[in-house]
Amino acid sequence: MSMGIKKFQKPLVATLAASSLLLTGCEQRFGLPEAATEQGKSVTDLWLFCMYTAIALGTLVFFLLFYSLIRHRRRNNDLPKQNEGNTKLEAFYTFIPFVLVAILFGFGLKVQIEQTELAKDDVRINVTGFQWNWRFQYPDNGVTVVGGPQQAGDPTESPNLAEIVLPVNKRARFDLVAADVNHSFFVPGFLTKRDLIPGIRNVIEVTPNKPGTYVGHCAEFCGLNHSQMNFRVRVVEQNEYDAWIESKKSQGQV
Amino acid sequence: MTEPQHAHSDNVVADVATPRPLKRNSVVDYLVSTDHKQIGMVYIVSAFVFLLFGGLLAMGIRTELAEPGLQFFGNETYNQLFTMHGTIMVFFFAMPMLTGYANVIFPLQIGAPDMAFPRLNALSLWLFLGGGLVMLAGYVTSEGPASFGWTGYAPLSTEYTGGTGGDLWMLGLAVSGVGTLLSGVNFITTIICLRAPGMTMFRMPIFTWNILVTSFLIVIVFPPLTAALAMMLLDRRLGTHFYDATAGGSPILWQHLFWFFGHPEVYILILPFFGVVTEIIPVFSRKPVFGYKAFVFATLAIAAYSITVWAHHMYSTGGIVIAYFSATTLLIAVPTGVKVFNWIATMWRGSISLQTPMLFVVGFLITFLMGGLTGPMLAVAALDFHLTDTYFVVAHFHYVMVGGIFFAVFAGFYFWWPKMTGWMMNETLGKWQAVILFIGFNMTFFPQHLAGLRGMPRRYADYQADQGVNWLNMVSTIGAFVTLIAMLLFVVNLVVSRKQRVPAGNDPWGGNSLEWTTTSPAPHHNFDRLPPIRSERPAFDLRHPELHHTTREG
Repeated sequence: MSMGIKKFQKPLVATLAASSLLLTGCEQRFGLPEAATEQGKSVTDLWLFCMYTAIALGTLVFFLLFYSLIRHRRRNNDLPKQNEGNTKLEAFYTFIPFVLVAILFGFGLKVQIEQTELAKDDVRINVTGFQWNWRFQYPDNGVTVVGGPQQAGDPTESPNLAEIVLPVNKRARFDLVAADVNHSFFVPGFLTKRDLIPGIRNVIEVTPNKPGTYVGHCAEFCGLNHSQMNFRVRVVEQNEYDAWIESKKSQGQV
Repeated sequence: MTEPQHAHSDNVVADVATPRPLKRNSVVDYLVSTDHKQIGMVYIVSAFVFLLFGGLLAMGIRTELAEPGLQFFGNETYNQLFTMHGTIMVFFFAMPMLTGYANVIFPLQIGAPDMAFPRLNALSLWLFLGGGLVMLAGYVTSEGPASFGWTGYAPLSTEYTGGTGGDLWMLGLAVSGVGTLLSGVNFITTIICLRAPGMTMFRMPIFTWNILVTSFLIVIVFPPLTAALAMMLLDRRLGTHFYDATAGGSPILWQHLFWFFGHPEVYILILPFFGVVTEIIPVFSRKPVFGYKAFVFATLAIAAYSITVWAHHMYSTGGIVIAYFSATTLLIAVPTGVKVFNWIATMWRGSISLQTPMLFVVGFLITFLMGGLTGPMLAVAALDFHLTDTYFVVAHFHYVMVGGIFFAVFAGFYFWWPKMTGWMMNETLGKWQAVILFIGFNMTFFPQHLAGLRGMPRRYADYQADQGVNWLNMVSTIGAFVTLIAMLLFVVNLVVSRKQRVPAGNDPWGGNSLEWTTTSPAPHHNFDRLPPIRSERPAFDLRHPELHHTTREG
């Protein structure tokens, strides 16, 4: 085995170097949306760590596979050496994945604890999911928003979608309650979601830090119109938020 | 390809058993048979029929999702499509396929004349077929079949979905589950008690080992599923409140019970097909399995871990201890990685011929590895909160399940079909099928990773046009039609090869294990005379009496 490893050391190193160069050349999130919250930054780092490890490992294994497929094709009737195993090598490739998953576990746990810890919130929203829409209540301001009936494929800006408005850089707390079946509160831009399950009280806290409009979905299958249970999150400056609250109050949505 | 199709050059196995004339059996003969090979054939054929049906449902899903907007189906029909697609593919394609391969192959591999309980084996088959028909009967009820997803989460499936289709779904699964349980008992008994003289545990082929371990998993996890389904039926029809939070029950109890079955189920499905791959690679590399005992211990480790990881499907429920389930889930990657490295080490410096079974194995290795790399990402809760219930998960499990099972099913089919029937499948058509299936599969499922990352939830009949997932879905749909072409090629191959009837001989590939030393198809009770079993490669030893031992370095 060791002779074999030496023989293809050069092309292997070259392939690994080339692929890592390709990947670090530009800002790259491999398809993950840009995080719109403070909590999302460490999630993005964790995702990048996973992707780089996966790409390095995948490149290595694919290289070995295709090298063997090409170089070790049958050329004559001679029986190849009947090698049944190599204890040291097998121990080595048991140990390396173990180390990798141990690191991933530690890193993942750290990010998860940061993500799920509860601190003092600035805005509190009671989220109720029901078949097939959302009710958002701001208990501190007495404002309630309920979505109207949606059509298939309603765009994010559609007036039918229930709307949450959040002040930028303020910690928002969502208390999640299911009124009938399971639902899931999912804002892809926040890089997180949590289920709404009868009998369980779930909480998400995020600090949105990029003003903008974000789509939200119900992510847990909840029956007939599951795909028409979208909502919208608007992250705005504090004064705009205050104005929105006032206008809702004056509309009598309390 | 220069190798002859049906006569391997170092195939010098003596006529251990003489071929005998084929007796034509009717369908009824097969259905009432207690012969493990005929029972296995019925399983395999019905699994393919279910595959075609489940595949058509998948085509319906992909056709609807090609573009945003509801063009072909309403929400309810769409929900029925993915519910029945998932249920059929897991319970009525993959399960009978593994039971079928196990039935036909492993008694031959250990030199057994039949199963330990042949009549129980027939009962298993009837329960499976009966269960399948009960579930499909949902299509002839007025509300149609079940529509609450193959995971049947309560309380949607209990209080909020009426309809007889849902009841038939539960009954069908419970009935066929009992059949599977009986198969598991039968397999364990047969492997423990009916091995031929000389066939010690550590000389059993890896496929047989994996069937043994799988059977233990079946015996452990199918009874909880049956119980969970029974409670669900009671909730639906007799007014109990097992899963009803408003009356002191717990919807999350269903999730625990379902996934306590459901995650080991994933390994029940994949381990036998790991076994298929581990049988095929050494034959087409003309080397022994690299790290035989490592394979066995890796299988045992995967099986043991698999019953400790179920709640990794439930990170986002907020009702579980995440660190524990995350740790056990990540640990499963270690023995799985050992297997991947051992497969490649088996090929390493071998004498590899890329005939159809091996070509499918290469497809398996690539797709399974891709799925294996996204697995640990989902095992980490901080990422899973974003990824769960999106198309990223759909992509992941189709890479491991379809990559793992589909490619291995066809690899095993092309490998063992000659043994089952006595005639070869057409190599040219087989290779085309492998290549087209590989292209179609990757086109279908790779874009779904990206759609999921961008936030497209699964089980959506429709999606918004402003989410940047339109072209991803279009590519995925085109890929599904390419996959369909590969499937049609397979049907064409079956018809053509059946007509050509190129004889297979005892051992068309230069096989290693015992099944290649008997006739194709094997006679009633399998062997007239058994060759000596002195290693895990008795057929190889017969061809190469000059080789006394193999080498193990380090």
